[in-house]
Amino acid sequence: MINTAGSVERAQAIAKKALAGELDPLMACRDLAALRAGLVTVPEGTLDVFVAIASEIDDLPLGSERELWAAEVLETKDAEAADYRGRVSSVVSTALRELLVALKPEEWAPGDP
Amino acid sequence: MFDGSGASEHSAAGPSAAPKSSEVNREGGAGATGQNSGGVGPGERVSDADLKNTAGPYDARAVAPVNHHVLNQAAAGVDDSHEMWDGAAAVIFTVATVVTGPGELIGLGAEGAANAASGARLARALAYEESSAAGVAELLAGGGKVIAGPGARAELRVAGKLASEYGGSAADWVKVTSTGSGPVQIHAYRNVVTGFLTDLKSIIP
Repeated sequence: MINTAGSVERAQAIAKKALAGELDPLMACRDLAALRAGLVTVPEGTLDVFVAIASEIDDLPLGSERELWAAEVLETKDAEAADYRGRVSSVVSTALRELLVALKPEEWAPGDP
Repeated sequence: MFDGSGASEHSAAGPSAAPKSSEVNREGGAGATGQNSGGVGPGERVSDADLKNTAGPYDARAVAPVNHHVLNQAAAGVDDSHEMWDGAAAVIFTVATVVTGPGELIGLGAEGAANAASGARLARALAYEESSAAGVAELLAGGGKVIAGPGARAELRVAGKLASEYGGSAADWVKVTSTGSGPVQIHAYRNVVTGFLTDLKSIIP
């Protein structure tokens, strides 16, 4: 079993952007959970973080689906997302680093970036 | 037959309209006793006795002949005996086979690729269904893996809501996933104290 090349590149880009603050960590979890089948060298415990959080937020309008939601509901949902984002940001950051190490161990150390 | 009257002869009877060999076995089918001897052999006609025992007015002589709605308008005197229709079906099949090829006729020719794709879709749908069923069964049996909540790295987002809605404390609730290798995973919330399972959903990795 090997990683899927496209999945590795996409996962690395997502993780780097999320760690750099350029991507919502919740959205990163959602995207990475979708790529997990192609990330076989990433530890299961790491992938479980993304999968679990993606599962927890699948009723939150975070992406392009936002335009389909009513403004007053978005306000409530955004507050819920912000609350959960704050509660999981630390574990997500750790998992993102683990992912980068697993995919490119020679370029990443657990303390980076 | 097709006119709904049950009559199978045609008023504009030409030579072919008369049932073939219609009188040969009409009486013989029921036997000497007049009872149903059971079954009609090749070339035989259904006996009057049998016809009287049927629910419909199948005895052509008992009902006034009616023109065939479609065929007799185009060609008066079309024979609609079963021999004619058997023959017609054979001709149609033969022509269709010659024109389209037997494989294509039954869906293995020009449409073969489409049918193969349908088969693949059906196989995938079956795999999804089996995977879902296995995942649900696993979780209902108390199995699965905790991926959020106490005992996992990720925090539950709605633990408090689950506790207020279903009981227990927020710390009693976890998110579990099925662990099979199929194409579908089942996620659900479980109360670890009572084993109560709720909000099952299927996840396609």
